[in-house]
Amino acid sequence: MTQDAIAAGVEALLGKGGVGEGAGAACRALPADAEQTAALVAWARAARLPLAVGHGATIALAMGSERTLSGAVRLDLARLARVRFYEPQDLTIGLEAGLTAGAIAAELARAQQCLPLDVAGGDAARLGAILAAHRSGPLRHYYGTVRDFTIGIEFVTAAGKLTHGGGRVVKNVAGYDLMRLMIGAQGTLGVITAANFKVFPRPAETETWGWGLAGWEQAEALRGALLRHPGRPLALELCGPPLRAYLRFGGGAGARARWRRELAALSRHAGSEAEAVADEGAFWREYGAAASGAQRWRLVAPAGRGVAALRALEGFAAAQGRALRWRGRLGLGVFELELAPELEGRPALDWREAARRVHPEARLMRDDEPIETVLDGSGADLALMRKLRAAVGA
Amino acid sequence: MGAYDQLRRKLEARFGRAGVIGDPVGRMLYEYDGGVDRATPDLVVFPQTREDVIAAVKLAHQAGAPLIPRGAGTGLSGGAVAREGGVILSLNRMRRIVEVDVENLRARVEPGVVNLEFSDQIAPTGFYFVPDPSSQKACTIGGNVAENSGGPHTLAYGVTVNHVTGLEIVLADGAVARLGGKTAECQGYDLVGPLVGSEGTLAIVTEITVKLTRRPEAARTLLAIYDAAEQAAATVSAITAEGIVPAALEMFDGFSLRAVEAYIHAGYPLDSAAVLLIEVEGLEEEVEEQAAAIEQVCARAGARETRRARDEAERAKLWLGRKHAFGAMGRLSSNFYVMDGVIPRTKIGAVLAGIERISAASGLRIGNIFHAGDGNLHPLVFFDQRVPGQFEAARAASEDIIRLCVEMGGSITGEHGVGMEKDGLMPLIFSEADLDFMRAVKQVFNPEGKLNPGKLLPTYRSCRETALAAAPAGAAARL
Ligand SMILES: Cc1cc2nc3c(=O)[nH]c(=O)nc-3n(C[C@H](O)[C@H](O)[C@H](O)COP(=O)(O)OP(=O)(O)OC[C@H]3O[C@@H](n4cnc5c(N)ncnc54)[C@H](O)[C@@H]3O)c2cc1C
Repeated sequence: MTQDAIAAGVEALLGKGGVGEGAGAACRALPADAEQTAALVAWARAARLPLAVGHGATIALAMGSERTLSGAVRLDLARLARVRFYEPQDLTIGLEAGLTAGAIAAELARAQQCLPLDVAGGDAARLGAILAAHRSGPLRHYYGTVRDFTIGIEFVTAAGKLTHGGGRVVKNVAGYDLMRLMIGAQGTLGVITAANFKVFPRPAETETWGWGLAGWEQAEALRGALLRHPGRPLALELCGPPLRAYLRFGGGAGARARWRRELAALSRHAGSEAEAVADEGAFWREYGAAASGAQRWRLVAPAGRGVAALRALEGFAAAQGRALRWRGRLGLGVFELELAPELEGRPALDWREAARRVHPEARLMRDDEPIETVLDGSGADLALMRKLRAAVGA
Repeated sequence: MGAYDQLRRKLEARFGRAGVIGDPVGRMLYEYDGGVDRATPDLVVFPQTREDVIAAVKLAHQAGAPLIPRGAGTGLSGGAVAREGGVILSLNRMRRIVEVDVENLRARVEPGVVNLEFSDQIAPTGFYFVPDPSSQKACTIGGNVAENSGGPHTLAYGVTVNHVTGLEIVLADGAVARLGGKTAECQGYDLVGPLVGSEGTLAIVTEITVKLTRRPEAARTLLAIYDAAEQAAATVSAITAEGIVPAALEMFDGFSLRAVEAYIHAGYPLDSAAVLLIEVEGLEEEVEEQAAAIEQVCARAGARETRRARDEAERAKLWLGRKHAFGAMGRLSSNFYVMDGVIPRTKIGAVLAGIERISAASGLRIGNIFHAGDGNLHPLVFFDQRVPGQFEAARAASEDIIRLCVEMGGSITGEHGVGMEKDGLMPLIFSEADLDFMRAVKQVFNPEGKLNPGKLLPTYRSCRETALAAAPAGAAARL
């Protein structure tokens, strides 16, 4: 099909406002709602057109194995930006995938509530992208990820069928948990059009304190001390270079005073005095913002091996004459890394191996690693994923 | 039973005579679980290791026999009942704690490990496993995983799926796969997610990697007493509106609290219309602030009185009433049917009123003791099995309640699972497209459908289901 014919086909389905510049693809399709999205997917499938699911510049992922954009229809869910329902008293909300984290936060602020979507990319990040890539940020330490607070999901299958799992209530075990399955599937099992969440009361007051750390031992000691601490802070971050840790906690005046008293003991582990972060809001906004054009990786290790893995990777990067920056969840073993200049080929394999040598379960993944590459590996779990993909995906 | 003779001999050759039950009396003990449905299995086998499981699964697979995993049999939706006959795989002899790894905040356990025994055993570390179903003295962690169980204290911390990061599974043909592990997330799709809560219809779970959680430093337990049930119901959303997420928030209606009090003497006032049992956990200062705020909320909502447990003994006493509630209710009537439905928490008052209407219309008494904080209802429908027609009436009343939950925007089950009790009700909340997608998932893991057949997904065209067809199928299914 020619580019013009594709655009004409999309327009016939979605109307004038539903077609735009393709930015590398044959055209951009902007369905107005979930039904139009389903119709478009069904049409593209019948016409054998590859479909790229993208939300502006945030993410561009292909449904089906086709990853080249030329000749493809780029599906943009920007117009799916409605709040389907919001029941502050029930602590639940239903959101369409094209909404941005900023718009969602503004909606929830009306009732002093929040969804911890503090991902890199900040307010501009779209819900669909956050879900498809299973993104998370510092608040994960306390709240978990979208997998933990998504209570219902709506998606369009590869066959163009509007499908859903879960529901609108905070507790529900009817049927298989399709929320968790679809979240992180990068659009390869279906295009997420909306999701329901349980929301949280916004902590009345929060404080953030930071430590400059002399070395990895201090990072490890601080982690160990907080692991055994009965309190549940909102965030515990480790970033560098230079190596620094941040602790964020909230609650009433008494609870926060207690945390402040604990800082002395924690500072002994950290080997330096805790310093209060003056403008918390600005600090966390900037903290999450994506930096340079460096290659981005995700490190996932068992919680107690994260620091060791980082340390090994820092050594590896130094030996290679590359610059490494990291930022992540000290208490959970999940880190975002930036490496420059980029690694490819054999060194990239060695780099991944360096993490695995610290712990067999420690893994490095490129942030934009297509799921196909992951599924290509060996192992019974991956074989099941491939089967699943074949059964329900494109 | 002819067809199973050969399989029985093969299983006995592998597991010994003591490892297999094939006689009619022995099999009768495995006819039921904690629910009301019954069916007799043809054989019961007791694996003790993963290799045993693989061997049993392969033999059953070769024979084309249905295979039904079973933990402690405390399930309330008939999940462990051999609906189509076949072999029950009783996993409660696999009860090793494989590893306790505090540094990584994980432990690995076999499926037959009993929930409470596990937390008791690891207590010296200062950590525990959060999900605490009221049946935790008996139920297994394998059963918790299969049902995605909750408990009174899962309100603030999440249910089983939020506390499991890895599974070792045996598939219908005996193949083994390891999903996830100790890390906070795994590569590729999250298969642990859908496996948790799959009710034995996707695979047999042979090992579970669970999260360990630090025991809170302090707790405050409150009993709020009301002269009107609506006021108690309104308090539930008022507490969350205040920005507080309690660790537990349980409600008893007047009828139930009197029944429990007569048996347990937990201190619930006999002349009240409803009580809320509320607990907050955390740092000493934190719980003190929250308890004070909750007391104010309760007073504003019209509570006659709010009592605070002064010490651990008083706290334990208040909880005793909740933990032994079902036992206490059992003294009232020879039989009762425990329902499980979910509603948005703002609808508690309206739904309780609706349940009263259903009770009046059916002539059956219905009590309510439930996880109010997350809107998870457990109406107890009392009946007498000896009276012809009463069981059917109890079932019909229960279904009316579930329908009411769905009308209010809720779900047909919050923690007991679909099992063979509610497979016919799935179309109330899921469209055919939704169910097809789930069938496709099942097809990947359990292609011949021999693992726990007749559960979770609707397969039977029962009269119930045909009745449902009259309702707009999947009308509530849209998000
Ligand atoms: C008095 C009482 C109170 C209860 N309170 C609660 C409560 O507060 N919250 C709650 O959620 N539930 C509650 N329940 C229900 C029940 O206890 C839970 O569902 C529990 O998790 C079941 O565990 P079990 O070991 O008894 O499993 P079983 O009843 O033996 O089996 C349950 C299901 O799991 C499957 N299964 C078991 N083991 C495996 C395995 N290893 N691999 C694959 N599938 C498996 C079975 O096939 C079946 O479908 C209560 C029950 C009773 C009787």
